[in-house]
Order: sequence, then C-alpha cells, then structure tokens
Amino acid sequence: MTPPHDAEQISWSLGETAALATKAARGAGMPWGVADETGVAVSWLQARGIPGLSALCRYLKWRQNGPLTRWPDRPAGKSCYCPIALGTAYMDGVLPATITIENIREPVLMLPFIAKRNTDQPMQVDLGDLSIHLSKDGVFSPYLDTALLISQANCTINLATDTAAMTPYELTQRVPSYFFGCVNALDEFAKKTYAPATDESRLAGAGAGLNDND
Amino acid sequence: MDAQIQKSSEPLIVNRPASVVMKLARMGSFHQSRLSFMRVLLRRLKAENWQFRQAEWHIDKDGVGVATYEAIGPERTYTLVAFAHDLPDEKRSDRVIAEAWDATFTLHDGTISQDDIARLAANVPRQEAGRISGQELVLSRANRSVRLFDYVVDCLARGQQPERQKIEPIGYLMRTTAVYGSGKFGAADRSHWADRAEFAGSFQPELLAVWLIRSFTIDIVEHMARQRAPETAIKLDPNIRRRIGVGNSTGLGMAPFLINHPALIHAWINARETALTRVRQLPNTDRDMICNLKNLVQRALQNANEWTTDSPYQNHKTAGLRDNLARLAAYLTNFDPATAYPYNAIYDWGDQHLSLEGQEQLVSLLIERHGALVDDLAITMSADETSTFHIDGSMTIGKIKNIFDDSYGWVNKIDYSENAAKARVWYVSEEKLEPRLGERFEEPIEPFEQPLAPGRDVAAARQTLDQWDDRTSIASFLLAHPEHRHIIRRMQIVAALPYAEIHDNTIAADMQPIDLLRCKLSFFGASKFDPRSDRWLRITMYQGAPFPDELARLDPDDLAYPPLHS
Repeated sequence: MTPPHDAEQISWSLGETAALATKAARGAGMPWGVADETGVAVSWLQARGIPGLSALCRYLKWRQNGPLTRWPDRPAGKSCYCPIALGTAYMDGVLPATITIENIREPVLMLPFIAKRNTDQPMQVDLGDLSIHLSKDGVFSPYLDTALLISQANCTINLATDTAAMTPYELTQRVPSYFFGCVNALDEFAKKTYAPATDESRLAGAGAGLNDND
Repeated sequence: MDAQIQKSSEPLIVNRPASVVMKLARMGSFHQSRLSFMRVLLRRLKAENWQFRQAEWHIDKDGVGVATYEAIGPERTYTLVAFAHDLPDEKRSDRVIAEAWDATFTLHDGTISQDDIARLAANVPRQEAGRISGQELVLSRANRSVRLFDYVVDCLARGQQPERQKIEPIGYLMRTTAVYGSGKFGAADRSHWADRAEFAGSFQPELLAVWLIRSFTIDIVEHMARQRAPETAIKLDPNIRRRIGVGNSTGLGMAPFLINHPALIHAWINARETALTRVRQLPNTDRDMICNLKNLVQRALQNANEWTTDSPYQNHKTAGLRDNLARLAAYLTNFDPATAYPYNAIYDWGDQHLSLEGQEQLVSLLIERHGALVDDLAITMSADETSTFHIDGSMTIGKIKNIFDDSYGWVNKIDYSENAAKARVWYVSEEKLEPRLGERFEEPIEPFEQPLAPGRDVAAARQTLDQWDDRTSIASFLLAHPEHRHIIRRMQIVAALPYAEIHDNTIAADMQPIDLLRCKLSFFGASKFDPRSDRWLRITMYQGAPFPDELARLDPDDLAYPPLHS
C-alpha cells in the first residue's frame, strides 16, 4: 500500500490503533489476553505522544514468528525479555515493585504496565541511560518521541523523587500521519489473524442466499 | 404479628437471575422498549428542544449530489452530510462486501465548512476504503428499497399518496448497512465525546445520524417527484410519512459485540431488568392504567400483524407472538385492577402462559407507561471498559474457582469433548475483514479462531487451575499460562457483573447467530426483525417516530407502537 495523496490529512483514532496493535500482536503469536494488553499499552503510549506503535513494530519485526519470549523461563543474559510479557507480569504483581531487570527488548513498551501498577506512587524508570518519571499526573522525561525508542536495555524501576518541577507529556487523541509506515507494517502482522477466503466460506460464512436487493 | 403477616404476603420481587435472562433463545426474543437507545435519544432531543434544519441541498434531478442537515442542541451542533449517488441496479447490495451505495453519510461534529465537505466528498463515498477524521463521529451508507423507493416517487409525481398497505410491511425507503462510530476508519474515539450529556447511554451519535438519514430519504423522494413532474408532484402526507423509517441490514459483524463488551452488555441488561423489577414491585394500580396497558397490547398486536418475514424461524415465533398477545389482551380484559402487586401478577401469568417471544414483549409493554419510574435508568446504559479491563493479580486461585462455581455452573452441562459442542469457529475473513462463522470440522479455519467461546475457554482454564494450589495468586498462574489470560480477565468481570455473560454455548452446532443480532438490535430500538438467513437480517428503525419538524408537538414515546386502524 502506498500513502494516499492526501496523506497529511490522515490520522488514526486511538481506538483503531489499539485494535490494530492487538491484532498484530496476536498475528505475531501472542495469546489473546496478552495481545489485548498490547493494544491497550500501545494506545496508552500514543495518547501521551510516546511512539508505542513504532516500538511494537520494531519488536514484532525483530521477533518475527518465533515463540513468545516469556519471563522467567529464559534466563537473562542469554536472551531478551519480551516487554509485554514482562510488563504484564510486573503489573499483575509477580515481581517486586522496585526491581532491576536486564536485557529487555523495546523497553519503552513496559511503561504503561509500570504506571498501572503504581497509580498512587510516582515511579522513576531508568531504561538504560534514559530516565522517565511516571505519576498520576502523567509521564515526565526530557527525552521525546523517537529518542525513547531503544532496541534493548536494562530497566530499573524505583520510587520517584519529586516530579513537580517537570512538565508532563501532552495528551493527544490522534495518531499522526507519519505513523503510516508503522501502521502498514503492523497490518501485515494483523493479516495473519485473518482466514483466507474460500468460495464455500464466502457463501456460508456470512450467510448469503436470499436476495438482498429489494 | 399483623405486620409480619402483611410482610409475608408481599411477594419477593428481585431482578431475574442471569441464568434465566442470559440464554440465547430468550435474548433473541427481546423487543424494543422505552429504554431502547433510539427512544432515549428522541426523548432527550425533545426535552432539550433541539432544532433541526436542512442547511444545504445540492441534489440534481437524478438524485445525485450532497445535502447537509444540522441538529442544533443547547450546547453543540452536529451536521449530517449526505452524499447521494447514481447507482446502477446491478451494483446494489446490502452486504458489507459491497463497494458502492445509493447514498453515503457522515455525522460531523459542529457546523461544517465547504473545505470539510470537499474533504469528506473524497472519502465518505468510499466508506471503508476512505478515511474520516476526529471531527467526524459516524460513517454510514444506505441503498434504496427496490420495492418502495420508485413506487413512492411515482405516486408523489402523479400527485397521489402511496398506499399505506404497501408502505407498512417494508417500512423504509432506504436501508443502511453498517453504521460505524467510535473511532472506526478515523472517526473520533468514543472517549472524545463520551462525557457530553447529549450522548449519555449508548450509540447516541450513530442513532442521531440514522434519524437524520430518515429525513434525507423523505426529502430525496419528494425532490425526485418534483423534478419529474413539477406541476403535479405533492409531498408525503405526514401520517403516511411517519410510517416510513430507515431500514438496516445487519450481519455477523455485529454478533461478536455482545461477547466482546461484557461490562457494557451487563449495563444494558441490568437497566432493563431493573426497570421490570421496579414495575413489578408497584403495590397497586388503577383501572385506567390496566385499560391503557390493554390498549398497548392491542397496538403491539397490530405491530406483530404487520411484521412479515420469509424466515421460517421468525415466522413461527411471530405467529406465536400474535397468539400470545391476543391471549394477553383477553387476560387483561378480566384482570381485577385491585389485585395486589398487579404488574407482578401479570408478569407471573405471562411467565406461565406465553412463549419466550411473548414474555419478552410483555416485559417491554409492562415498563412502557412507567417512564417516571424507569427513564432514569437510561443513563446507566454505558460502561467504562478501561476500568474493568484491569486484572486483579492478587486474587487467589481459590477465589477464581469460586467465581467458576457461582457464575459458570452452566458450563458443567456442556461436554466440550463432543464435536457438536464445538462445531463452529468464529473467524475474520481476509477478504473483507468481517467476522464470520465456519465449521470447525469441515473448513481449515481453526488456526484463525477468535476468542468468542467463553464457555469452552472457562472449562479449559478450570482444568488447568485444578492442578494449582488454591492459595496461589492468579498472577503466578498467568505467568505460567498466558493462554488463559483473556478468560481470567473475563471471569473477574463476570464475578461483579452477572449479566456480562451469555449462559450458552456460542460455538455449538445448533447455535442461532441471529439471536445475538436480535438482542443487540432490540436495545437499539429496532422493530420488525426479518431474518434473511440464520446469520443476517433486516430491521426497521424509527418507523412511526416523529420527524424533526414535528418533534416539538408529538410525543415520540406514544408513537413507538403503531396506531390502531379504525
């Protein structure tokens, strides 16, 4: 698919972005419940102007069709942790609230899960050299947009010190046109969830038969 | 002592349990009620004195061009933009796989500029292949009724009114198919407008668009008649015009919605059940109210008599409904208005003597004249799905097993090792990205299965859970078994919201998908369900309802059932 000529007018709603990320994650092999978390996480990031779509796109391309990397059955150092699987485990409370984990792939995808577990407590998250603060007032970091895209890093989660002096990322309800490439790439993963049409399914699957043109 | 005797004679009237309500056969027998979303919308538009105007009309003699309609409320204005096309007969199809339509629509947030109309003209006629923006709330399309559209234009051009007998069984000039909202194809997310008072409840922007589309369908037949014969053409008589609604063809695309939005479905059903309970709890009534109810029953019978379908499934149900309503009318003729808890007595009689179709029609009729008692429930018919999405990882496995025992007992009655219990697969087709239903043991579609079989998935999770210690947290379980994550989330939702789950096997060989569609459409306010197969159907929306130019002087609730023929 090529960008339409009026591409600069295009933007995506957060709802369709979440739906796309969910389908792409499922298409890449994640179980449905984890794919649902992926959709919500990507939408959470995009709503704060953080390129969650890009991070997911990079992660799924890197993994392609391999089995889902699942903590803790792959020891750190040998492989990388999946940011979604690790994020859900952290959010669910399997891991301590403050912790350092090594070798997380696309670690920016962890942020929504850390924020959701710690709604009452501001947290400081260090992704490699980048430091990000999360609190009920928003996401705070001097780093913007693609600077937050890190292939692989250690992640340290700690209680935060004061965030009052910082300005949170602005909330947005749209995903801008320059994500076109990511949307297309994720569409390719999403397609793996669709069944190829056959003549039988065309007729039977949707229940054709009676004339509808009256 | 006296007080105790008095108390013991009070019937215990509580909401019907989910085990009774949430069966597909019953859900597939629901009828529109005063809590249906179309009716909630019209009540609000009337109460707030909304104004409506056709702002632009650039349609040629063949019915091609653009028109806009403004709905002007106390705080905001919305604009329906209608694009009318010249579609050759052979291209007209209601299926979602169509690529061209007689008319296409969008609902724009605010008044609209010429630049925006130009932008939309390049996208809205393409429907799914185009893009709308965060300034639009709804995207839809419609086709002319071959049976009625030309006939009505002909009549009006000749200066004659169309015959009511021809209008009534069809009930529309144009039939919509998909009515997309909530962020689809670029539209504004629901969160963008969910806190606007005029959209409290469910599907209010979509149904505002459909109500305005109805005006467009009238305007275009009157316009074409005038173009054809300016000397003789007349307008539709308001009483005949009111019998024209908007049609809709709906297929499987809508079916998964009831399963995918458990918290929302609970909110809908809970409001309707609470309304029924409130009416049943009324300790007394009077002769006028019973007469009034009997009159309503006769009007519902009129509706049932005018309800035609080629579907043997629905024909059988509708025939039973006609018989039921006649018996109900006879029962009410002899009903003593001094009966204690009169509506509960009537409900109980219906429970014993009527079919599911008749029982659920009775539910709608019982609450119909008690607006002051039930209308406040309308604003509870929505859900914040982000709050229910969160899994409580600290819940113990023992507690999850309790949820299974309390809320999923019905699963024990299904043997999922039997092929017939899992004969169907819900999947999405590559061709049109629409949900479809296939045969697990006849087609190679299982790898593409959508998670729309909660009963089976709960049973599978239970088997795995039985190997785990009850004191362990569900978080640890999910770490080892992420494949059960979706169903554990669901069980936590259902534990708090009993009407969130359908107590039936949604992949059984004998499951009727149209039951799912009918349930949802009844909440919209649709009438005259006309199944065209076991998986798609046609309905009529807003038949009988007032038009914008008569909303101020007519009561939309009084028009929800057809007037009795004299």
